[in-house]
Formats: sequence, C-alpha cells, structure tokens
Amino acid sequence: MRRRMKQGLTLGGLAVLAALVCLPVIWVLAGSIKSSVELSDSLSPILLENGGRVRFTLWPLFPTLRHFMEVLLQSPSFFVVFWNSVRIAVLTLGGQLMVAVPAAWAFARFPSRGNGFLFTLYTVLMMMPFQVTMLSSYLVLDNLGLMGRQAAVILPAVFSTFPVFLIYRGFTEIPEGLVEAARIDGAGDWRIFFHIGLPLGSSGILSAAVLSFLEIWNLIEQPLAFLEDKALWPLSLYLPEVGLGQAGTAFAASVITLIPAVLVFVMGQDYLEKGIVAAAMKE
Amino acid sequence: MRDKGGIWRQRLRAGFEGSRGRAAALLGQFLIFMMACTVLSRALYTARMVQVTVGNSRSMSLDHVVEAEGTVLEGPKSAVLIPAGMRIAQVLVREGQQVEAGEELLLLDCEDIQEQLLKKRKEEERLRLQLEAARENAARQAADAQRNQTRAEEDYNDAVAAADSQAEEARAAWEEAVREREQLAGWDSYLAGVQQEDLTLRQLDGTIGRLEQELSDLRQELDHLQAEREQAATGHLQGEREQAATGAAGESAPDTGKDEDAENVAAQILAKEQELIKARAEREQYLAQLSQDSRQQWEQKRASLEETERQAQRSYEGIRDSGEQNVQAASRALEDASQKPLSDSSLALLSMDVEAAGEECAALEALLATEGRICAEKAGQIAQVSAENGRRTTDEPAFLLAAGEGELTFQALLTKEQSRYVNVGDECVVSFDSGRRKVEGLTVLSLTESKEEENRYRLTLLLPAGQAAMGQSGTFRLVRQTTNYSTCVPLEALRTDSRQQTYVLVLSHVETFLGEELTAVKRPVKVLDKNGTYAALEEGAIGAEEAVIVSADGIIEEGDIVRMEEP
Repeated sequence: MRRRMKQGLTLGGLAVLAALVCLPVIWVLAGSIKSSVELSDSLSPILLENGGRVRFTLWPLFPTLRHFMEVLLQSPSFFVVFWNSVRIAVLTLGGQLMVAVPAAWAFARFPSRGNGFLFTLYTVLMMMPFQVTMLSSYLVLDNLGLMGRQAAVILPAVFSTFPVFLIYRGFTEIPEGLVEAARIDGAGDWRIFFHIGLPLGSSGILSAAVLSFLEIWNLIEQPLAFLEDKALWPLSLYLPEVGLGQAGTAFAASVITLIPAVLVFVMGQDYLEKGIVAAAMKE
Repeated sequence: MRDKGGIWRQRLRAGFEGSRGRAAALLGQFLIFMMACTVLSRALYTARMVQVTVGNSRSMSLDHVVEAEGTVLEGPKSAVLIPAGMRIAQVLVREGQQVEAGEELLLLDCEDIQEQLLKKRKEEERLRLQLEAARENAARQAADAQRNQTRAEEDYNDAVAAADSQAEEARAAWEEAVREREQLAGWDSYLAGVQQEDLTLRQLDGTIGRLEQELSDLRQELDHLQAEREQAATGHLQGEREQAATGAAGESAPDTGKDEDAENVAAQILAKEQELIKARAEREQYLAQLSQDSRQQWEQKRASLEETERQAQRSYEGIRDSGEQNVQAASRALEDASQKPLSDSSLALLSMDVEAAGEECAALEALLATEGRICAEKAGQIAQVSAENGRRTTDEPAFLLAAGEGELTFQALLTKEQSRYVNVGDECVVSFDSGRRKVEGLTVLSLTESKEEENRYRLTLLLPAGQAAMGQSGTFRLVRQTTNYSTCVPLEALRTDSRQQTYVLVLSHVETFLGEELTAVKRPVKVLDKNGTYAALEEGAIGAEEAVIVSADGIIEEGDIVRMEEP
C-alpha cells in the first residue's frame, strides 16, 4: 500500500514536471487551431505593444483549421523552405555517415599517439560555439566559392565532430576478441568494419543520426550567416519571417515543422536510450 | 545454411518493428502528403496571381484628333455702310437681286451732299481756329510759369543769404557779450584789484609799516640797552669780587644812566604799540567799508553783463528764426512756381476734332466726286435692303450682301478640351454621307465661345460652292501633332489613387522564398499631355528600360506579386 502510494506520488510529480516541460508545445498546438480574433485579443500586448500581460488560454473558443489550410494550400513559400530543410538534413546525414563512421572506427580500433592527439583536437573543436569559428568558416567558404549556396551549410555539417564523438563510443563497446576472431578467420579490415563494426555499432550510429537530424532541422546561425537568398533558407528561418499579425499561421507552421522531428525522434528513441546507457555504464 | 536475408536484412527488419516501424511509415506518409500539398499550393498560388501586360515608355509626339459633328449653314453676310445723314435719291436694287462687284446700289442727293460738305468745311475751319488760339494760350502760360519760377529762385537765394548774414552778426554780438561776462573777474580778484588801486588803503598800509619799523627799531634799542646794562652789572660784580678777594675798596657805583634810557625806550615802545594798534584798527575798518562798496559795484557790473548777454542771445535767436521763416516762405514759393501745370487734354481733343472734321469733308468730297453713287464692293446677293428713297441714311447698314453664289459655312460645337487643339487658319477635313465623301483643304474661319452653351466653342469654316447642301450634317476632323515627348506610355497604364494623384505601376524584381518574382511598384508621375491612346509624362519619371504595367486581369496594388500574361 505504502509502496503504491509512493509510486503514485512519484508518478504524479513526474507528470506535473512533464506537463510543465510540454506546456510550450501544448500552447503551439492550441494556438494553431484558435481563430484569428482570439489570437489577436490574447496576444495584443505583444502585437500592439500596448502594455499588459499576455492572456493565453489552452482551450479555443472558436476552433478552426483555417490556419492549416493557409499554410498547406496558400503558402507555397512554406514548402520551398520545408524541402530546403529536408534536402539539407538528408544530404548532411548522408555525408556524416560517409565521413564520421569510418573516422570513429579508426579512432576506436586503431589507437596511436597521433590518433589520440587528433581525437583531443576533435573534442576541443566540438566544444567551440559557432560564433567562434564563424569568421574563419566564412573566409574559407568564400575562397571555395560556396557562399550563397546550400553547400556552405551542408559541407561544414558533414565534417562535424559531434557524430564522430558519439559513434566512437559505440565502436569502443565492441569486444576486441570478436574482432580478433574474425581476423583469425581471414577477415580483412574492411570486412570487419562492414560485417562486425557497423552492425554492432549501429546503436551509436543511429543515435548520432537522430541527434544530428534534430540539430540540422533547427539550424539557424549557419543559414543566416551563409545564405543570402531567401529561396535557399530552411524552415527555421521562415518562421521568424511570418508577421505577428499572422500568429495563427505561425502556430500552424510550427506544428507542421514539429512533426518530422517528433517522428524521427520516435524512430530513434530506443537507440538514443541505449547510447546514453552505454555511455553511463562503466566497462 | 546461410540465412537468406543476411545480417543486414535481419537488422533492417528488426529496426522497423513496433513503434519505430509505425513512426517510419508515418514519416513516409507525411512526406508524400507534403509533396502533394506542395504541388497544390503552388498551383493555387499561380492561379490566384494576377497576370499583367506590360509596355515600355517611348519617345514620340502625340496626335490630337478633334472630331465633331456639325451642320452646313448659309454663308456669311457683309454689310454695305453709307455715311449717316445722307439723303437717298434712289435705291437701285431689291432684295434677292444678284449684283456684281462695282454695280450701283443706290444714288444719294448731290445737292444735299454739297450742303453738308459746306457745313462740314465751316465747322472744320472753326475747329482749326479754336485749336490755334488754344495753342497760343498754352505757350503764353508756359512762358509765365517759367518767369515765375525764375523769380522764385532769386527770392529764395536772397532770403537764404540775408538770413545767414543777419544770423552771423547777431551771433557775433552774443559771443562778444559772453566773452565780456567771462572776462569779469571773480569777486576775490576784483576785490584784490580794488584794494591794490585804493590810495587811502595804501597810505594806511604805509603808516602801519612805518610804525612797525619804528617799533622794531625801538625794541632793538631796548635790547641793546638791556644788554649794555647787564654787561655793566656783570662787570661791576666782577670788580667787587675781585676787590673782595684782594681786599681793595670799590672804586665806583653801578651806572644808572642806562636804566633811564631803557625805561624811556620801553615807554616809547609802548606808545608805538598803541599807535600801531590804532592804525591797524583803522585799516581794518576802512577795508571793511571798501570791501562792502566794492561788492556792490561788482555785483552791479556782473548783472549788467549778464543782462547784455541774454539780450544778445535773444536777439540772435530771434534773427535766426526770422531768417528761417523767410527762407521757408521763399522755398515754398519756389516749389509752387516749379510745379508742373495740370494736364490739359483740350488741345489734343481739339486736334482730333479737326482731323475728324477733315475726314468727314474728305468722305463727302469723295461722294461728290462719284456723284453720289454707292456701289457694291464685291459680288453677291442682296439679302436685306434697309434704305428707302427720300430718307436719310442711318448708322445701320443700308444693305446686307450675302457671300458668293453657293458659298456656305459649316458650323460645329467643340468642347473646351477640343478647342485647345484648334486654331484659326488650321487645315481640316469635313466628311459627309457617313464618311463616304470628304472635303479636304478647308481652313478654320473662326472659333468663338458659344453664347448659347456654356464651355462650348463654335467652330466655323467656309465650304466651297457645290460641296454640300444647306442643312446637311457632316463630321469635322482635325489632327494636331504635338512636339516630341521623351516619355510616353499607353493611356491604360495611368492610374489614380485615393488622393487623386496619378501614378503608374512598374514591374520590379524581388527576392522571396519562392525565388525571384515580379512585383508592382508604384511610381507617381506628372502627365504633360495625353490623347486617346497615349499619355506623355514628365521626363525622368520612368526609365526607358522599365516595364510599365498596362493592363491586368485582376485588381493589383503596389507590392502585389504578379506574373506576365501568357502569350
């Protein structure tokens, strides 16, 4: 009995915390189906700058799907930026798989002094914020003639150090004995990599992919700095362009923007959990 | 036996089990749905977009075509005027009669003309004499005015000179009086002078001086006597001591004669001092009296000089004011004399009357020379006869002569806007029978404001004979070409906003999320001229390369995204 009460209290507390964390998302969902009049009335302190506090209710008085219709059928520019985001995400993820996975395998399975130094360098670079490297990146991209093209956003992300760091952890979990056994059986390095390394390190790879996707889907600084043409901008830069007078449209666009991120997260949730657990466990 | 799927297929199958599989399926469906919406929204967007046709500005001149419906009317009439007051002997024509140029219309009474000529000549002579007399009077008046002016100038100059000299003299007298007053010494100096020159006072001072000298001498003598006495006394004592010391007997007694002399001198000194005191007192008394008398004299003299100065000043001011008045009077007289006489037009009027009388005489003489015959100046038809046998002519026309046979006029009403492009003498075309027959080479005879209709102008032109029938309708057409304008756009491109300002919409490229699109930009313009198809704009309003939106298949406002019309 006491145990059940304890469990109930724990669950209740966690539910309250979860609700608080989810409140912004709930607001977005509620705002996306509210009428324009309701939104204007509740957001007037922000829209008209006439002082006072914003009054936002969760339940709409006059629910409507008009904003979704406006976004999906009357805003072709939304789809331009949506597919830009998809393109950037797919190409970046593909590039990261091509580059980061072999790099992580090399760091994990071929230790040496040089590798140790490089890995340390990778770790330092990973911790640097974008603002620190922005100017040097700008100069390099300009010299390469990539400024104003989506490759200026994709290429630096492809060679990002964060996936290497995550995948490396997964590769280090593979027992050395397994690799030795395969080597004894006559398997070469590439065969060991493709048939043992990739399958057994897939959790790390997929968790890195999920986190990379979420990061790329929300990129703001790199597109803003390197892309001048609005037709090349991703979704994350489109939402601020929507005027405050079209708050309903902005909410609806936010909901649609949220859907792929949620679905990808659901797809990779297990791998993320496994990756976090593996990192926490001691060998 | 090797697994058919291989490790990769197994992994893949395992990877998409459960919620992962459902999420992946949802993601795929979501992406397909988004693809469909992409196509649909783009189609709707394009369908809603306004299609426009554009044109570039051109450099050209504008043709203003003025067309108006009109009617053929009878030709113009001319009046035959005869000097008024002539007796008509005989009227030789009747209404409707066709006459040739130079044909006689009527005969005037020659005797009556003769009489009138005689009267006119007398009147002319009278006016001429009046004119001569007026001219002589005017010349005499001018000479008188000139003489008066000369005299006034002389009077003025004399007045100025006299005023200056008199004022100068009075001023000199005044300054002299001032100088004399200033020269009068102050009281102390005056008194000192009087005292210096007074004999009695000098005598008294002499007496006092003498007494003081005597007194001084006596005191010296007394001092000397006293010194001798003391010396004698001292010697005597010394002798007695020596005697006392030596024991010798005294030989002589002290001398007492010196004492008596000293006493006499002291008495004299005392008497002298008293006498001196008395003399000084007498002097002081005399001095006081003298001072009192002198003060009186001095003040009298001073008052006299001040009065003299005041009189001199008054005299100067009086003379000065009087002189200024005289000068002012002379100046006014000079102004009056210099004024131009009032304008008088009687001479000019008389001259005109003389000329008019002469012209009338000449006209009567001309009539006499032709024996009173009045002839037609040009051929035409007698439209109206106002003259009657035996009556006198009036100011109204004796005959109205219609234009040459068959000559008609075409009249049309133009609007104010149309009349701006039509001038008298312009070449034009009139078409009849619904445009099937045209009469070219016509010229505008007149363009006057219509009295019957407001803001309308009546156009008149002459039609040659045989071109049309009276009352027939036709269409007037005139084309006027303006100067070359550098910026002309189709008339449909002009728009007006709520503030009645004229503007055009120009295509411009704008970067949007959909790439480069076309947008309408508002450009205010000033219209210099326009006809039915084009409008001329102020230079520089639109660039030659800019595309102006001429028409659209919907309503467009500034900033709207548009697209070019499908060919």
